Amino acid sequence: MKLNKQAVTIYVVDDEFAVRDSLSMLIELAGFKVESYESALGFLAHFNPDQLGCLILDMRMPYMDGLELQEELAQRCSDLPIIFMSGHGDIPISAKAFRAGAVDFMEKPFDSQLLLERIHEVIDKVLLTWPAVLKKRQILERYASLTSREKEVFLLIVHNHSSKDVAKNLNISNRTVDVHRANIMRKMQADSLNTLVIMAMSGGIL
Amino acid sequence: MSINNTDILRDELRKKAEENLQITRTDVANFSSEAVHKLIYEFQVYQIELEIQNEKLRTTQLELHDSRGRYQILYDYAPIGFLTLNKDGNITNANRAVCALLTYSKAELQGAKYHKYIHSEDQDRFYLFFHQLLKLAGNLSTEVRIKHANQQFITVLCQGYYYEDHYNGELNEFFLTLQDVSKQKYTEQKIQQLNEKLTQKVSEQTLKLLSNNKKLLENIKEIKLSKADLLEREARLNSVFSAAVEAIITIDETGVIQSANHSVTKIFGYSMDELIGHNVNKLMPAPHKEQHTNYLQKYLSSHQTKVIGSIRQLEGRHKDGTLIPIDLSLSEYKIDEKCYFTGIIRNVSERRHKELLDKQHLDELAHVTRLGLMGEMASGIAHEVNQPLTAIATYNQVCLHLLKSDTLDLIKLQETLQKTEQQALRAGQVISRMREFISTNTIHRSSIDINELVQDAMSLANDECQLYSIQCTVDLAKFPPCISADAVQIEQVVLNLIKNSIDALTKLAQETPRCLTIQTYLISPKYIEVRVKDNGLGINDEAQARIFTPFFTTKVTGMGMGLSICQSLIVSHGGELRFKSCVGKGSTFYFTLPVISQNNETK
Repeated sequence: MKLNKQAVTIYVVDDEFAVRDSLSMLIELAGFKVESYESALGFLAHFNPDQLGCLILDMRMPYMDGLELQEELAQRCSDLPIIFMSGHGDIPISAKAFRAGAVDFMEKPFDSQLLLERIHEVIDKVLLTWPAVLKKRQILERYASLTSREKEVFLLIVHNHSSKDVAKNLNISNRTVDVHRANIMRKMQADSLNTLVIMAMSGGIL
Repeated sequence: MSINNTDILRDELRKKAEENLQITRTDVANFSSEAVHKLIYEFQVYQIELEIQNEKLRTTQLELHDSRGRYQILYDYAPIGFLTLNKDGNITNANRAVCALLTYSKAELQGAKYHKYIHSEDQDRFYLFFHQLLKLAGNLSTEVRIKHANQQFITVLCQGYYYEDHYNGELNEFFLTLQDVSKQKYTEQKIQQLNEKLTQKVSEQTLKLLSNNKKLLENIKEIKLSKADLLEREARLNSVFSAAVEAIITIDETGVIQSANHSVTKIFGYSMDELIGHNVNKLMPAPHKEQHTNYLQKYLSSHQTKVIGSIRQLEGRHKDGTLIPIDLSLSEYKIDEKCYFTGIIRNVSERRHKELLDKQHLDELAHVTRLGLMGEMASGIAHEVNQPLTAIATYNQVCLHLLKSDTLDLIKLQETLQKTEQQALRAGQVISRMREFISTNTIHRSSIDINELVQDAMSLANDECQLYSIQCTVDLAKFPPCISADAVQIEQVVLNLIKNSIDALTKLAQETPRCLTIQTYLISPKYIEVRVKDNGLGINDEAQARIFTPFFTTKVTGMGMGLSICQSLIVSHGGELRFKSCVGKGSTFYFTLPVISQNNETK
């Protein structure tokens, strides 16, 4: 998969027209594709989790504010990096935003050149980690296809338990363990136990 | 009849005498003639003697008979009852009076026992009386009740005599006189009752007199006390009179000063001698000085005035000619049909000064509260300013980028620069409005449009409303008349009320819709009303009672001055600030402001 600036979208969410308008112009001039929204709800309505990009989000907005949108995105397992903007940089709110995974926090009025730089950094990182992200996503998808019994067996195997141990542990026959094991290898598309362990680690399962 | 009787008696007597002669017969034949003659002689003499004797007897008898008849008449017709009893107590004779008393005829009474006519309770007593009478043979008396007609009893006084017949000792009789004393008795009882009543009355009267006497003594005591009281009160009043800070002046009907206390000299600078006996108008400036006598005459003829009983704010004239602001209250009293007036005068120049200071203080306080209000809304205001600033910075960057680009898009550059300018102006407006709001410290009344003012205030709060998802509705009166007010102060009030509503609304649960409504209304041709209404939690009764009290607050960080300042600002504009609140439903604060009337405008 070929990745460049054109593959990403910069989202601008701010209830103030002038801010939205100026930022959109600037970011577009920097060569990014921009989508701007007046409200968090408008953004969510067009949200595509597979779309790579970066969210420039105003903290104060009616109906649903920046922090609430961040929470909503986290619930939807989105990896979309968020740069917050706020008219009043009070520490508790920014700390909250950072704890929830915000990549940056810009206090209005800010140097928009700095914002552009931050966007570039974030996008570079996004592009860099994108393959790994895709991989992880793949592994988790495969893992999700396992039955609950297979997941139990999987966890024991990757923790270096022998088939005998597994049978004893789960109080099932060796032969059954072998069947599960074969199914796991097939579903996870792993050719060896080593590959399986690496998959478990990179998928964050181990 | 009596003659006949005498004849019969004589015949019988002769017969008896002859028989006796036969028995005692002496032999008369044997007598000598001499002796016979002598005897005859003797007989003749004797006969004559006898005849004389007989004649005497007959006279005596006749006399006796007469006497008896008289006795009988006396007996029968005596007004007192006579009753004759034998020793067994049987009635042998009774006169008419007795018959009348006992209501029986004489024949019915004859032979009857007297006892049976006596009241059963008195019978024993009568028996005793009867026996005593027998024993003592004297005269005794007792009172008994005897049966009268219709089973009634009457009381009689019974007086008894025991009569022993000397001629024939066996026939003993008792004489009783009966005298009806029931009337007397009744009268006695009446008299006794009257006596008793009289005694009672007298004792009552005496008691009354005693208590009256006591009361009188008490009254005297009280009078003595009240006299002491009066003296004491007078002394007290005197001390109040002379020690009072207020000047107290008494004048007569012509305005001549009768009395004045020390404070009069202090306030007006005149000595006591210059006051007493002089006309009170020397303490007044024109035109009262010249008119005062007229005022008095007018009042004395009509007795109509608004002056007495009320406190008026006037000016007095000091000896040195300076005018002193005073409060004057007047009262009137009459002695011997002559009117006197007492005036109490307070020098209020100090109070005026204090009022002025208070006003200044209030202005300062209003300023401080305004700062506080701005501080509370600072984040909103900061946001308000930061938004255009952010946009400006970004537009600028865009311009730089455009300039750097290979193909110079001048139209876009121009557009962007125009947008930048707009944003800069917007930021400037916010700042200057803010500065105006905060820094104004003096009252500048001007003719203002209430709708404009409300919208300005609303724009300051707009951001905060958006932040807290508050739906604002502004409902304005169409073409309201202008009001004369200090725009900054009224805006402060509106903003304060909006701020309070926002605070109330943010306490509502997230899901509850939050509504804030601001209305301007022309409630009468003379007043405009501004209402700020929210659907917040409302104000509880306890807080309602104290809501305008300075330093009362329900907020954690509040000073408690907001509403009390608002109220004083509105009152100083001639309006009123009120509220209605219902717990759970919300609150409405509303204030009125007088509109500029046509008259005022022409003036």
